[in-house]
Amino acid sequence: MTTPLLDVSDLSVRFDTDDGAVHAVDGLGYTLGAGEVLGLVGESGCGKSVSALSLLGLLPSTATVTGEALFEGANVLNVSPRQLRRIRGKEISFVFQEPMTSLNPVFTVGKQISEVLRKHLELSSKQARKRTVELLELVRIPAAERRVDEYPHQLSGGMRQRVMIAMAVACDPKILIADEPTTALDVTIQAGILDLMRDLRERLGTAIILITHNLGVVADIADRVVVMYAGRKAEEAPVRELFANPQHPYTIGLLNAIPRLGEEEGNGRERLQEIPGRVPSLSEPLDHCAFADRCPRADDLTRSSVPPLERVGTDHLVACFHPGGEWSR
Amino acid sequence: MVAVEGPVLEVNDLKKHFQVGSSLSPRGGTVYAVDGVSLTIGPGEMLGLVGESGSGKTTVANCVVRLLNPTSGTIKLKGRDITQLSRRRLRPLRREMHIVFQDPYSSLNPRMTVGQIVGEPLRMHRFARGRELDRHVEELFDKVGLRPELRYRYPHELSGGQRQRVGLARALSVSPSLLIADEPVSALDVSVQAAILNLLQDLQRDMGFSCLFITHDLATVEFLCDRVAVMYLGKIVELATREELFTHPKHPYTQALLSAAVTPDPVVQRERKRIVLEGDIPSPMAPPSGCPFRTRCPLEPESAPRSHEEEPALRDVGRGHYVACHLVEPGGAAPQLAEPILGRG
Amino acid sequence: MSYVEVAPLSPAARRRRILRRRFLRRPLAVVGLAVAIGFVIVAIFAPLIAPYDYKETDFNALLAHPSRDHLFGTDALGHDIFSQVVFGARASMEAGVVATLLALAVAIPVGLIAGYYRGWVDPVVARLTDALLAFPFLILAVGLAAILGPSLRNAILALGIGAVPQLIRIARGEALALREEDYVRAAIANGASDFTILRRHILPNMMSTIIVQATLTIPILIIGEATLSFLGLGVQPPATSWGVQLRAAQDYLFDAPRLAIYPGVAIVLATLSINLFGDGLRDVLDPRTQR
Repeated sequence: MTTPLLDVSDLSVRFDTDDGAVHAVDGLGYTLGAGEVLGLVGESGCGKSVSALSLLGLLPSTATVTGEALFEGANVLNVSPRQLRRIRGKEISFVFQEPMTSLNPVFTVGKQISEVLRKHLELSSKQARKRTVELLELVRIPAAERRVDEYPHQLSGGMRQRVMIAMAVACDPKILIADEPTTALDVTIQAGILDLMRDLRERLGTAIILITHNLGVVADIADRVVVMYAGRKAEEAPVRELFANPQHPYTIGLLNAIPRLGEEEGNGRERLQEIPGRVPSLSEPLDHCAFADRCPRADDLTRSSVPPLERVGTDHLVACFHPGGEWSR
Repeated sequence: MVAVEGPVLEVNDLKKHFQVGSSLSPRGGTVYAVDGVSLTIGPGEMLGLVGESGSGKTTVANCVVRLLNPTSGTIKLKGRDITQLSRRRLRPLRREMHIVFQDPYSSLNPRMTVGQIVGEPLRMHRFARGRELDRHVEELFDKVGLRPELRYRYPHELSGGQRQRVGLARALSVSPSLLIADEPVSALDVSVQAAILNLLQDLQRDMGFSCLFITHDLATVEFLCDRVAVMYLGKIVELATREELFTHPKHPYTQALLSAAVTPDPVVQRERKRIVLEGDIPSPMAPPSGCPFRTRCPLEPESAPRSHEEEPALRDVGRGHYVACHLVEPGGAAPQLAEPILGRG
Repeated sequence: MSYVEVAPLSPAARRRRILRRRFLRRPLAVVGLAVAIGFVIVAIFAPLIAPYDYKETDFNALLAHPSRDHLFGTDALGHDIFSQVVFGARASMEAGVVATLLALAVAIPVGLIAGYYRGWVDPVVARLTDALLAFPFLILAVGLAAILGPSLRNAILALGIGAVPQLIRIARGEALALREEDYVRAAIANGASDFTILRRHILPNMMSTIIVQATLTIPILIIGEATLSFLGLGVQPPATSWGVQLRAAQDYLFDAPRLAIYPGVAIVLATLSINLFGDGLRDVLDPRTQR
């Protein structure tokens, strides 16, 4: 078995806020192989973004990060700031959700990409410009030669996201972390970005951690999926397996809650599955199953202890005392 | 349910143009946000208005509720022309139409308790006062699935889903004939969306109001709505019953939209050949001449030069199905861009 | 119909608790508040705190150095400086607070209407505000003094008028932003009258900003009063204020600088403390600050 490109284990993040502590991530672990697309799925507050930001040290000072994230032999959660800066943008890069605010409005698009190139690859300004145009063409921005000198506000949302992606792949990173890259975009534009990401993965061999709440996006592009709930991993499986054979009640609930195109035969419109209750407060680390008070399978066992990760198939893991394919037992 | 004659809402050739820039700034321009929209909604009917950014769907909603004043066209609510009415004359009629907003965080006054917020329309339209008002509010909370004790809480103490329920309760408090829902679930988590959509469906069945449901998500429209209108750059490009639109989409944009939608099923999703539109959505300040979709339409080589010169009219092609496309024949035959969508048809 | 569960929460008192905690994390603001409250207490209870009446003179101790009888010493006429400073707090604090309140009484309605209605009202208000801004309050005060005679009351009037433009701007800005909020649009769509919207939706939501701004205006007006009194346009002797004391201290600057130092330090401490408190308050109330 080859060593994974990224090996995260027991990652925990705690924020110290006005209202006390928030245990945003609790003992998260996963691996990422070279060239693999891992979908990190969950709703708001589940910790998916926080866990990714922690890998590059992008969390505010109120956060305390523990655990291990092994990348090329080193624990990136522990490296020196200098080493971290070397990794950011070059080995591991990040694409943020909001293309409107992630680009500096007072610099041209070309300048921003060149900046990354010159810093990490030490290119001359002429070389950087040439490579920048190549990158813009790589992300399929038409008229790249002209666009290089345009400012962010002159580009549409979809274009800006492509520029962000160009910046992220500029130095040919091994891992690209994309945090809800298409959430702020229109459906038809989203389709283009997803195609682009798939294309880049094939051409450049970049591994991608795709963070999203949209299961459709995951179904489209991911190889493997990790479902997160309340800071913990609930289920993990190869993508087809997860959708065909979900075992965790949360995953099942989520899949049934989404209206799907093409399934409304006749005039009987079924109700969508509702998951009763709300996400538990994360002010204390929970000593029982995080999903217990919303779960139809809950019993004394789940309310008193944390379910361990169990293998329920090849590469299929569930953190549940009563895994099964139906919503209730 | 009282039998009402005639449509609840009639919008005729609605146009809303914004002037950008002032007399001081040299670069002015017109945003053609809504450019000739006509639709009707019957009693108890839910019409879905679908579009992406720049389509003008939210502007249509704002015009219908008269938060914006239309540039031209007419809006009739239960037969009465409300397009030009002054605010004072409009007030009693506002009882009949209410709006639910997208953002559960900014649509509620942070300084009022949610009970007060829900009771405000009742108070405003003099439905009830004092204890009777409180009783109404309690009933409304119950109807939207919130425990009545919550009415003493402030908005920031509730979750996003709860806030949207409050917004719904407020909108339905005076039993309007028309509810306008502007992307009511887009800002919510998936599991919460399901609850709110179910709730909306239940309430509509119980109370019988008509609804203009605005969204960018086609799957939601298929789930909830009776009829669907697809908008692009300020115009309606296709209008049909749910059944018709999803089994026989005729306009190339509708087909592209359906094709681009992602579905949570990896097998299906990866097997589909997706239509990817080239280019960006044109700016509403500079809509293309002729057919607004021609700059991105895969069939443009066939429709040119007519599509460059002449704007396609929204025509009836049978079975309540209207399409605005030069390549769709009067009988309804339309070019297929992709295989039937997701197992239907 | 399934009920939505709610985790137990305490009511709005929880927000106060959070705000209190955030405030306590800012020692400068806490100190500021404490000192400011100290000054207020001194002003209110002046007769009880001061060992002597401010008009009282001690012929045996003229320009005396600080001693056990006279904590800060005495001035050229035998007044106890400590008592003077204590009583001086009254006029100065009164001027600061009352003038600010006066200004708010004018600025809030005007700013609200300008920001909410816009139309033709807004440019008119803007020009009037600009016109007012063109008059430094000093000129206003001189003018008023000339017409009505110099007094604390007229000084307060001048100071209040001088503070109006800035407060109008703040109020107008808030109203402008708030009218775009969704809940305001919902109220309009509901058919609410403008008055109701202003009263229930816009005004309550701008209060934090206004309070902070008021807190920062008071020190400015305290200094303003001191300036006016120093120039003879405000409080008139034998009534006293810190400004009056500074005026009297001019002649003795080399021989007995303490005549100027004590009231001067009082002004500095009073204004600085209120400023620090106001700054901290602004941070605490800003939803964007983390802690």
